[in-house]
Amino acid sequence: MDNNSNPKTNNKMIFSKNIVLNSNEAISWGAAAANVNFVSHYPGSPVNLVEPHLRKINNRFNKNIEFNNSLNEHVAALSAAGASYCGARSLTIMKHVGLNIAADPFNYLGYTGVKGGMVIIVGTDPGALSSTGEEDVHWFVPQFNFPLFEPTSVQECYDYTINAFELSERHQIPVMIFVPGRLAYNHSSINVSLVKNKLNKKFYFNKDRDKYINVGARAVKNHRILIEKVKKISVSESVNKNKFNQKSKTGIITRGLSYSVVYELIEDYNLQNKIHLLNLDLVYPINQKDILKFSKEKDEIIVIEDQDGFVENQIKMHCFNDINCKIYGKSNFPAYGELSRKQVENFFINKFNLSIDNRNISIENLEIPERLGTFCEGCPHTGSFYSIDTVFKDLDGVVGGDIGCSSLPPFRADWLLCMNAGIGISQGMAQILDDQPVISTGGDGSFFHAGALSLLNAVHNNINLIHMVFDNGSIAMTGHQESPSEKNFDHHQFLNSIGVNRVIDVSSYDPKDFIEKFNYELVRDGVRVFWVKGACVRSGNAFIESRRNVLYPEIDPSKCGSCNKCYVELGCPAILNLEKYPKQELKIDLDRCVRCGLCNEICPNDAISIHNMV
Amino acid sequence: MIKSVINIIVCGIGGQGVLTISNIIRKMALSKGFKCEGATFKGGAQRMGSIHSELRIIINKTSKVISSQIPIGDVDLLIATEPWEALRYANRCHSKTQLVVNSKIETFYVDRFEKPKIKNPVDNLRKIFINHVIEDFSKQIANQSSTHSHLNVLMLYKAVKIGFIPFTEKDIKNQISQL
Repeated sequence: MDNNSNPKTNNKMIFSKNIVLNSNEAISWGAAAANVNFVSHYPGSPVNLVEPHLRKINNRFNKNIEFNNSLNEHVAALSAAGASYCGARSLTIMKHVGLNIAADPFNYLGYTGVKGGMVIIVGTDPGALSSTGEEDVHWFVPQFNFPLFEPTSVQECYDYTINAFELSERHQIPVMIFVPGRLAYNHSSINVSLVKNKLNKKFYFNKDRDKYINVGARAVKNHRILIEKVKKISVSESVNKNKFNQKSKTGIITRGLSYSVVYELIEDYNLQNKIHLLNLDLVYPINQKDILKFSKEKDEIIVIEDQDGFVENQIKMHCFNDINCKIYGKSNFPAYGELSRKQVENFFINKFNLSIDNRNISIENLEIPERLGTFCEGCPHTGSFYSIDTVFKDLDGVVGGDIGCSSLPPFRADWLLCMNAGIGISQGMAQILDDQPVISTGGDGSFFHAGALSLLNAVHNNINLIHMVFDNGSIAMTGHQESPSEKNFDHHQFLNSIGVNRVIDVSSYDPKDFIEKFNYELVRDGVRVFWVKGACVRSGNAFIESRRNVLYPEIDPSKCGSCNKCYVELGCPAILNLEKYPKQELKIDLDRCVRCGLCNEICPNDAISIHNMV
Repeated sequence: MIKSVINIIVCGIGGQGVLTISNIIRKMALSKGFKCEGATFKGGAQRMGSIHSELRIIINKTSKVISSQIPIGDVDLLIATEPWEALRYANRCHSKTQLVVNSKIETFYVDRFEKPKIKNPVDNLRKIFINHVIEDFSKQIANQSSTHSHLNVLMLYKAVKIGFIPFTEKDIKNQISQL
């Protein structure tokens, strides 16, 4: 497209520098360099920092980017497609589990094709370093039939974002980039440059029923066009790295992070002559010609990659009859966890009969208790779960957990698996269980993600269920992205309109009132929603701010009955055990304490008092 | 012989400044023209969770392609703002790894629910490692015996003073002034 010129060749440069960036930021710069027009996202680690950084670049350089702060990945994907249909370059960002949500539209965006370049950034997480799971989303790719880049370095995150827009426009197809957690937060100094946007750019939607209306024969025809398009890409596009001895009998193929692991080991053990290394930067569709050329004169090809062995599978599928040598890989490496250097090293040691005499001997593993963490001091979830646990203590009640801070360590809910798992699983349980009371919980983020619809489902099916929305006013866990509840959202009006008649407002900082109302509602029928107010303490909680520099709490050891309500049941991290045996003595660490006053509220012995600062 | 790659693990508890000093080290390395690979592991916790960062500074290597994973047993310098956390990464080190550890123990949050029977981590560290600087840096900060106001920065100065990483106190000052 003429109005999205290549920054490498254009002379209207407005910024060009070598700067230190992490991969999230590098992608933002890449998108800005490609003159992206539209950005939609749903926040999720490890790609949660792309959109905020792009906003900064947008403000600094007046890039005129339209942002869609999407409430879930489904609408993020579709809105980016809409912008692209009109000729705009669009970027959409989500994590691997979010791709499940967006999979519905992505399955059919290939059928319609795109006009402006559309790039999809997906954060993957081998090793589940910042996620509930480590699913291998590669298997979606041949289903969507979108080309896929996998960068191996921070610089490539920048470069391939630009390349992806160009490839997308060249072939009128969305292009994906997968960024694993380990790479996403890696830093490097990289070269970036921005060119001037063309001002007053006009976009236009060309109506085209053959393209955009997909059903029956039309859908089959567009599916055929998509397959032909991808076939063409697999022949015409080739992005890879060829290293070391091309005449070697052993070939190794890598993708993403396994490239640097293998590269480093080849040099460390001086295997440069014995190995021919090929890294696929454009992982899908694989270029059959490249693979066949690589396989010439090889006795064997070993595919070294993390997760389930996608590339090995693709090579075997597309080249099986044309390659005479042995192809293997996953049989030697696990499909779970991160692919560790140790695993590849051990494989090399056995395979090439290497000497390991001069390696450092590591110290044996020691068992150290896990330090999973806890809620922040004064976190509204602390009070909410104290109230829930107090009511449920003798009732064997079930607490449905969602995704977000409320379900993180110290794991106060009963499960943690996916968005809206609280309201979803709890419904089924509520319908089946007779004696155990069931409630579901979730933050405002997941409520707007799809929780509201699940709640409507509970109303629709006349389920007896209490759902608690912890409204902390933002998507706190991923960096306080905006939530609709921050604005003028009337939850009463909203919930009433979907048929929830009992909406109970409580504050997480008032456990007496919370417990009283909870006990009252527990024996009632129908869908009841507790709207639990309490803003995140790390993003301007007015209640805390009004008290922080004014008050301080104190524990009177002579009155303390060692009931541990504050220390264990509330579990405030600011309360310390001085361990003065035989009697424990609790103390409040005033540096940590944010003066929420919950300990004072719940102490049955009146041992905790709140004083005014002098 | 100068090592071609210096491997560093910085670890501690969220909020102690682990990420800040990792950033300072990374920026010092890059500003000197060294390449630096690494990864940060923030975990899912908001407070009191384990946190660590791996850094690999490439001093002298022709190809300059290395993985962000430090080979097991190949850590050269371990900076830990808490002794239990130092012990957690002992299996990544060898007996001659240089340690700079804050001796002030932070109790485990899980303590309050279930008492673990563990002995003193500081004694363990002294037993396992030959080259260690294990001091109560927290106390030094509290006593104002130091001119540096933050635990993490004080420990980084100490690591630089030992001469294990190719940076000077001035380099640290330069980076801090840019934060």
